[in-house]
Amino acid sequence: MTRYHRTSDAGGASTRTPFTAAEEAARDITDAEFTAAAPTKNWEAEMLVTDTDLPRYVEDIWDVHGSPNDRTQKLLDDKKALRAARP
Amino acid sequence: MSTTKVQGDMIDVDGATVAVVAAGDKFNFLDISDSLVKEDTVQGILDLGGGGWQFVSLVTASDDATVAFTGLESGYDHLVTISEYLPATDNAEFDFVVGITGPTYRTSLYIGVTSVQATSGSDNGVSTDNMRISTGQSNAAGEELTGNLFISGAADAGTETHMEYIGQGQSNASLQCATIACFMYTTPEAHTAIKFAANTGNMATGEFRLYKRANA
Repeated sequence: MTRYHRTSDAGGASTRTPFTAAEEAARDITDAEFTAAAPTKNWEAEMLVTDTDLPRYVEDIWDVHGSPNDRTQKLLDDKKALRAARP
Repeated sequence: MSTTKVQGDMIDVDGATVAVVAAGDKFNFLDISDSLVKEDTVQGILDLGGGGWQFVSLVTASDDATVAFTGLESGYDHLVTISEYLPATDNAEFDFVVGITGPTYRTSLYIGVTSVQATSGSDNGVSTDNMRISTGQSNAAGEELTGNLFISGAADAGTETHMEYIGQGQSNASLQCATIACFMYTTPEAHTAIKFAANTGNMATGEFRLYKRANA
């Protein structure tokens, strides 16, 4: 599918022009790179969410001294499971 | 006793035909310091006070790979407001670059920091080949990105171009994100163009408004 530039010039006129063949080829490469990296990037975003309830330094403390209760133990287990699922 | 004369066309008379003010409309004012009637546009009056923001143009992205403005002017600071932006690809980064007349867009020599504070955790990005507005934006309806990008002296040849961005969006994990970023192009040159793009895929939607304000 053709990609397009949408440009507003000095007079405010808007034009839509197709990518050149070279631009299409370059963009195909960057899109393929993004697709290849997407699983890892999505995993990183999911890991980031877990940091609110269980920051890494707390996880390290609980690993040594044990978590306080069942709820916190579940947080710990879930985070370790997600970390183990890294693509 | 002195008499002050007022022109009839300055008075808003009940029942008169009402029309919306257009950019080129001129208005008369009585200057009591010299008793002369002065005439100017609304923008001309705003400029006397050090300059107000003046709308330049609107570009609406609709499955476009890039959106660009090529009319940045010397002697002005610029503001780009972004609203309703969604990438076509989930979690795509959102970047921009500046360019010189041609346009020829620069792909190096940037320095900047993008700080993203989310409802859970934070993310920071540093890039030298472009300037990053979002480190990962959702493509889901209802999670649109909005923000304001201020560009200082872009088209002034003798100064480095500085830019600051404040905005909000949502990550693909549906985290509300607040973004503060600052950028600079490290070599003084006249940047007359600016181009926005996701780092992959198209921009599904987005409204980009360019404003300018005299800086001299």
